[in-house]
This record gives sequence, C-alpha cells and structure tokens, in this order.
Amino acid sequence: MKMIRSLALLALAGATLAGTAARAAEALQVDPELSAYKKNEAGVSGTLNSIGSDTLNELMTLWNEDFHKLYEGVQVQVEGKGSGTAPPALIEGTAQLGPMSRPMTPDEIQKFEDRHGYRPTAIAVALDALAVFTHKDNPIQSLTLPQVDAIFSRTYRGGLGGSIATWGELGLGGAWASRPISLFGRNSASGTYGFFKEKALYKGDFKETVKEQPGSSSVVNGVSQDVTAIGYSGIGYVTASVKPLALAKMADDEAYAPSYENVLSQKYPLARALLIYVAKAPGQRLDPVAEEFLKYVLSKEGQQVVVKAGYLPMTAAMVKKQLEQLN
Amino acid sequence: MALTTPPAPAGLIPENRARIRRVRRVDRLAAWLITAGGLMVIVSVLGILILIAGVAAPLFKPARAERLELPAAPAPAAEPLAVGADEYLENGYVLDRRGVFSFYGLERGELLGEEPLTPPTATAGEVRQVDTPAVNLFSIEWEDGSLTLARVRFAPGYDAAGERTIERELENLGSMPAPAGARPRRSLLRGDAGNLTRVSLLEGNAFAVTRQATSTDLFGESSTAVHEHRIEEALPGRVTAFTVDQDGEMLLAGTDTGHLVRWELREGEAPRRLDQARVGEAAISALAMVLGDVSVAVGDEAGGYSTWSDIAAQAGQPRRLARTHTLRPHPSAIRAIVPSPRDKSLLSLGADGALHLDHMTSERHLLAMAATEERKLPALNSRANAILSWSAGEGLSVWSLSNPHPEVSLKSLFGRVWYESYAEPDFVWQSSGGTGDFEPKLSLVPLIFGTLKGTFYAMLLALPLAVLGAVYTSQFMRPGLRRWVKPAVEIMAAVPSVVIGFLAALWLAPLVDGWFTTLALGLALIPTMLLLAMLGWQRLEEIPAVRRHGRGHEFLLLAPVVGAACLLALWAGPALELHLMGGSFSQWLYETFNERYDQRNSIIIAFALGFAVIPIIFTISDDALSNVPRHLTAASLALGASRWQTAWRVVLPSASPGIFAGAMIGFGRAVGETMIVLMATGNTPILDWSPFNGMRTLSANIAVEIPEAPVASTLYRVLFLTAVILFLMTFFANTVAEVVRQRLRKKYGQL
Repeated sequence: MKMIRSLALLALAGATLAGTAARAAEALQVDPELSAYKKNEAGVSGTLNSIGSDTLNELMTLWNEDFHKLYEGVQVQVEGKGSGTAPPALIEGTAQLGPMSRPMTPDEIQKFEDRHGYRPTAIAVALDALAVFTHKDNPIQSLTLPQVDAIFSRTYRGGLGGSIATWGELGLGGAWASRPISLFGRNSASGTYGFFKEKALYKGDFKETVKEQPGSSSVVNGVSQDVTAIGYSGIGYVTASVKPLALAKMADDEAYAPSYENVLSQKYPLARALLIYVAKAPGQRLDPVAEEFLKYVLSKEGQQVVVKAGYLPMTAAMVKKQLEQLN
Repeated sequence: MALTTPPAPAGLIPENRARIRRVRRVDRLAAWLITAGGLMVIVSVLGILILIAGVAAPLFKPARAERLELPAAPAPAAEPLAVGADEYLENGYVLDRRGVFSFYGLERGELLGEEPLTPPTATAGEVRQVDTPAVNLFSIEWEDGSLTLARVRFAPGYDAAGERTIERELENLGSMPAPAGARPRRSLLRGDAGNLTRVSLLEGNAFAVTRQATSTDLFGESSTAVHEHRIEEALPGRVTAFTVDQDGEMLLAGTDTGHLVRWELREGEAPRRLDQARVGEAAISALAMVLGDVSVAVGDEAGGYSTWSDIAAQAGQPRRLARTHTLRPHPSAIRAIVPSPRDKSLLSLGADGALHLDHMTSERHLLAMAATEERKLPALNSRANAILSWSAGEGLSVWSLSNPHPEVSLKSLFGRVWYESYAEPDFVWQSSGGTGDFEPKLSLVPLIFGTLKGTFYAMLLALPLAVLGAVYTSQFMRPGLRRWVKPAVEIMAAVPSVVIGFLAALWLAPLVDGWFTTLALGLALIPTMLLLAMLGWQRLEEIPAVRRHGRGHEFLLLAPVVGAACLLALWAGPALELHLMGGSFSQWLYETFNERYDQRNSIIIAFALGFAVIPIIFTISDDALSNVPRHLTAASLALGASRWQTAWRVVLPSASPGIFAGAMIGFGRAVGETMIVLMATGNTPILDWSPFNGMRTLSANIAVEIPEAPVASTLYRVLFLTAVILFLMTFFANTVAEVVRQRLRKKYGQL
C-alpha cells in the first residue's frame, strides 16, 4: 500500500516536472532501444571548440553541461552565429565541431577538401521541425507552402504567381483583413535561412523587407512583440508567446502540425536533421574528446537532452548509422 | 622645415654658443622625428589600403585554362560519343558507339579498364545518340530507339596507408523501351529509378511524352504506372533542338524560325504549353538548362547566345520566359552548350571548333579557346575544374580550369542585373543561399545607398543641434556655465557605440513604435514653442533688471518651455492617433500611403547615430568658434553691431573652416559606424529613402557576413572590396574637408 502511494507520488512528481520542463514533450519519449552512455574509464580531458549553428546553440550548451559533469577535465567552448560560420572554422582548424542546421554545399566541401585532403564527416545529432509561427493572438491556423513562398519570397516559385502582403489575403477577416504582414527571418549565415529558402521558397529569394535577425531567439522575440508578424526558426526556440502553424505541402493537401510523429513520417514539409560536422581523417580515429562527446550526444542521455531542449530525438536505427561513421 | 635659427652673433660667450648648438641639434632631431612619424602614418594607411585592395583584386582576374599533356592518346575501338573526367583529374573516360566506357589515366594516358553498358533490349544494337543532362550522367539512345540512363560515379576512398584512391563505378539508373510507331528523331530520358520520363521528338514535328512511375505500397508490392501523352499542336516552325530539365517536368523546344516553346510536364496530366518566345531570326541549334533548372541557355545557327528565365510576372498573370542575359556571340553556329555543375557558367562550342566559357549572371566572357581543328563533345567535370573535348586529330583534350570568381563583374556589382525568376532587373544584395545552385546577388548599390541613407538621417539630426549648440555655448553662454556644459557634451562621446546600439534596439525602438505620433508631435511642437517663447522674451528683455540677470541664462528659461511642449505632445499624441488615425499609426501609414512602418527604422538610427556624432561636431565647432580672435568681435561690437550680428557676420564666417572640418569628421564617423547600425536597423538591403524603414550599411554588412565567408571565396573578396569602398568614401570626405578648410581659411584668414 505504502509502496503504491509513493509510486503514485513519484509518477505525479514526474508528470509535473515533465509538464514544466518540456514544452511539447508531453508524450515525447526517446527510443527505448537507444543504449545508455558508457563512460570511458580511462577518462578524457582537453578543450573542444564548437563554431556554427545558432539553432543548435542551446543544445550544444546543454550537452556541454552534462558532458562536463561526466568528465571534469573537458571544456567545450560553444559559439553559435550561424551554420555558415562552421565550414570556415573547420577549414581553418579553429573548431573541432561544426554544428550545422543544413548540409554543406558542394563549394564548402571542396574548400574543406582543398585544405585537408579529405571530405568532412556529417553526424546527424537531432531532428528538427522548422516552424513557421505567428503572434499567439493571430487567428490563422495553417498555411500551404506556396502561401509561405508568396509571403516571404519575391520570386514566387511556389506557383501562386504573386505576393501576399496582408493577412486578409490569407483569408482572415475583420481587423486582420487590412493588416500588413511583418516579416522576420534570419541572416544569411544561418542554415535555417538556407533550408527555408530551399524548401519553402523553392530556392527562390527572400523579399528585401524581411528583417534579418542575428539569432533565432531574436526572431521569436520580434514576432512575439508584433501582432502582425510571421517568422521561422527551429522548433526548439518556439515559446508560448508565438504560435507554430500547421503546414501543407501543396494547395490541396492536408496541413500537418510540426509534431514528432509528423516529422518521423515526413508529413510535415519542413522536417530536417541537425548535424555536427567533424574533420575526421580517413583511417584514423577522431580526436578522443570529440569522439566521446559525439558518442555521448548519440546515447540515450544525449537524446534526452534533445527532448529537454524542445527538439526531436533520433531513433535507435538512425543513431546506429551515425555511430558507424565514427568508426 | 623652417626651424633655422638666426646665426649666433659674434662675441657671445662660449657657454651660450654651446647652448645654441645644443638647441639647434634638438630642433633638428625633433624635425626628423616628426617627419618620420608623419611618413609612417601615410605609409601605414597606404599599406592598409594596398592590403585590402590586394585581397579584393583577384575578383577581376579572368579564368585560366592550361592544357594537360597526355603522353599516350586514348584510342577507343569505336567512334566516341561522350567524354568526361573525375574531379581530381586522375581518371578520364570515353563513351563510344559500342556502348562501352573506356577509362584512362590522365597522368600517363594508359587504359585503366572498360565497362560495357547493358542494353535494355536484345535488339538494341549500337548507341545512336547521347545526351548529357548533367555532368557524368548520360541519356543513351540505342539504334532501336530504347533508352538507358547511366551515371559514371567516382568515389574517393582511402587505402590503409591513407593514400587517396578513386573507385570507378558505372551505375544504370533505369531504362525504357522505344516509343511505339516509327523511330523518333531523338529521345531523351530523365529521372531516376522510380520515376522516369521519356520525351521523343517524332518525325511529324510532334512530341511523345511518357512517364513511368513506380510506387511501393504498404506490403512491399511495387506497381508501375505508365502515362503516355502526345504533343501534336501546331508549332511555330520545325523543331531543331529540345531539352528537358533534370526532374523531367519541363520541356523546351527551339525551332528553325527562332522560336522557343515551353511545356510543363506534370505526372498524370497532359503536357501543358506554357508560353513561347521569339529568340531571334536564326534557327535554334543548342539548348541547355543552366544549373538550378530555372534558366535555359539558347544558341542559334548565327552564333547568337542568350539565356532565358522563367520570371514572376505581375500578380494574376501567368509566368513567362524572358531574355535575362545576352552573352558574347560566337562567329559561327553554336553546336553545343554545357552548363557548369558548380555555378551559372556555361561552356559552349561553335561550329568552327572554338570553345567559349561565359557566366550567365555577370555576362562575363571568361575564356575563349581558339579553334585549332574541328572539335566535338565539349564537357566539364563535376568540380568544373577541367574542360574536355574530342577532336579527330588530337583525340581527347583536357584543360585544367581555374575560374574562381566568374560571378563578379563591374556590372554585377554596380549595375542592375536581371536575376533568375525576378520580374525585372534590379539591384539586389543576397550573398548566399545554403545550396550549391544558388545565384549569388552581389550588388553593392543597396549597401552604399544604406550607408548614405543612415548617414544622411544622422547628420540631419546631429548637424543643426551640434553647430547651433556650439554657437550658443561659445558666443552667448556665461563662461562659468560653459565650463560645465562642454565637458558634459564631450562625455557623450565616451559612451561605447555598442551600448548606444543596444539601447536603441531594445529600448528606443519599441518605445518609438508605441509613441510615434507623440514623438512626431513633439519634434514639431518644441521648435514652435521655443520660437514663441523667444518672441515673448524679447518683450521681457526691455525691462533692464531682466536683461541684466537674463544674459547667458536664457536657456534656463527655455527649459520649462521644452518641458511644456513635451507634456503637450504626450497628451495630444495618443488622442491624435486615436481620433485621426483609427488607433494605430503604422496601420494608418500603410493604408493611406502604402508605406510600411518597421520598428527598426531610420528615425531610430538618426537618434542613435546622431547621439554618437553630436559630441564630435560640437567640440570641434565650439573650439573653432572660441578661437576667433578677440579683436574681431571687439571691433564688431565697438562699431555698434549687436551680439547676434557679430556672431552671424563675423564669428561664424571666420570659424567656418573649423565647423566644416567638424561636420566632415562627423560624416566620416557616421559612414564607418558599425555597431549602432548593426543592432538598431533590420539590416534590410533596400533602396528606399523612407524614414520608416531600415537599411543595411557597408560596415554592418561586413560584420554580419565575414564569419560565414570562407577565406579566398568570392563573398570574402567582395567583402574586402566593400572595405575598400568604405575606405575611399571616408578618404574622399576627409580630403574634401581638408581642401575646403584650406580654401575657407585663406578667404577668411585675412580678417
């Protein structure tokens, strides 16, 4: 009896904790088949530099904190100004880890190879649903990708053939009908910028009126202060003061919310993997600190941190593939 | 140096003579030191300019191609139909009429191996025609009309010793049988294993389009659906060339009358003719999709060469093809166009055997290789660092190609450029895109414009405030007060610009956003009420007691007037907004003038940047005004001029060189300021003088983009070029300031 009561209490406490700690994580559990992290008994120590994605910034910081608890002697310095800063840093050797929210372009890979003589290795570390969001008081619920294109781009490759400048053109009535849409986006160093441009703008170009913010949190901040605004960022940055929209691939398709199921089933059109690039010479092992760090990130504990940060964890099958690349 | 002392008069006592010698020695030494220091400054400034200009200079270098000598010429057993090479220039290959890929080492020319293609049917026979939709990808048409899509893959690997090895692999992506009926003139195959599109040009000037889609259901059973459509409509002339994009969704055909016709091919739907355009008089002889599949390059029998893009027309109108670029024509007919797999460059082959390399966006003619004999089969490798071709006499020719910055030309930096999908030519800065087929837009015009716009609004606020303030403190204020006011203004200059930018972005911008009508009203009310108050003051001054104590303290009286104006604006602003503008200024602005109000706008910049510039202009102006010789003002006052007349007619002209220099130094500071504009503008590269939106300045742009630019990349060098421009702008401003100052000094110096 006593045991049952304490168990129930525990469950209750756990539920409250989960409810406060994780935003969209009510039902989000990491894959039970993921193996727990096995600490390297020999121990590792040293410094790691991480330069790159702003989307991954919070994750890198959280991983770093936990990793530091495991290995006292390890320091990871995290700098996140945008994915575009990762290739130059890896090429020049100023960083060992290059987190990126988009894959490297052929040009970046070539510049890397020119310097190092081999190609960079990409390790997927988490999943993300790139969210398009509005102010929380905006009544709109969903958009189609061609509409997103007509809102953000000046090339209209999505097929709508013209710009959407007011909320009325998206079907909102009343006071909303004549309100102009205020656009927030990222700067060009951002991988989120590049990914959004490729998938949502059909490789078109942004309107020059998109206010370029240096980080995802300033995009969220900007949108939460402006009722007429729309913006985009990784799902982990979404707060209660903005409302992520469901998205449909085509005009007649059903719209899907940026949830874990819709990302895994690839129904949500802006799903992507978040990557960490490393310079791993062929036939050689990675720097031991970097290798342990990546092993930790790809463990059960590391993926629980992903959930905590509001992103989406990888499945055991995906993790297995990534670990093979390290060996 | 005019430091010569007069010769010591004879008869001085020896100690004095020695002392004079010592003084002279020290003088000479000081003169040398000062000269050397000045020269050092000039040399280092020039050194910096040369350094940054040196980084930017390679942007304008032409492409270079260097022929690789092949000791043993590859000689396949049958007529070659296509050639190619890997990205490291170690393996080359030739596809011949038998359908065999022969691989050669490019170092020594030896045969490395042969890989035969498996024909899709037993009756296939030899290869009839080959089309290359992309580098190392081949759509092969056999004699019986069946088709194979094959790719040559080079996979770099590393052996146990860490040495790089390259694995060759011939990959069969799919095949389709011949279309029913008579053998077509030419067939192309596109797509991948699951989804194939075959487009055949039939004898009767018609097309047959076949789509084959393989889908797998939940139980792992795969089913294949085949849709066949014919295009048998009337065409403007006989089709002489056609091409299909990589996904098999767009068909473009050129005719002998110089028309370009376009169809959209959608799965399960009949092909839809989108539009047609007249390219020129001559028959179209070559068509190729430019990297990214948005533009098509068109060459004709007369050598005419242009690119056409699908553009976004006005809302409500269909998209259409437009001639976006005209490239340098060939002297003879264009036989083939090969798009670069890395950028928007195009390799073209003329009927005379000449090879040209041009870039679409910049319209730069990068390279011309004169015809030595009849060449065919032009090709590039996957890194676009080699050009290949075949000629009967020389066999396989390979040139290593260095083409680092083809997208930059004076026109693409400073002129209007018609980019892919854009409705019209425009000045655009959008430097990177995260994908390989992105077309960089590197117009510096919006950045230079943004710099001047920010500076203009800042100077608009700072110049009158600083100069008039300096006139008042130097001419009218009591010296006791002046001792306090001047250092107080100078302390403003000590506030770091990052703090100003931070406050402007996070505190001032939302504040102004919410209280804009109040601010605008205040800016109008304060000067008017000040003027009224001063008119009243003149009346009061007629009373001798007021006059005696008021002198130099006038501003104390004006402080409450300013306060009252502020209170009035605070009270009337929201009322005005509510009753005249329907409650929201930005909404009203958009509905009435179709003008957007951005939170981070030029008004914020005027305040923030003005705050940074005011102390500079104020201090220099104040010094110049105070240093006007006493005897001038005294003479003026003695002759009966009033204090105002003296200040306006005597002091201000004499001090004008100094004030001008102060203004120009302030201008230079505003042009180069980075942190404030970086934080307090939206960094939007727009061409719009409206004070309600932001800007992107040269300096902020360098700060934003340099971390993402790999060293020696085009963006990196263009950013250095913007640094050169920034340098020249401030250099120009300072030189003008100095010249004008000298002139003014000469003019007013005799006073």
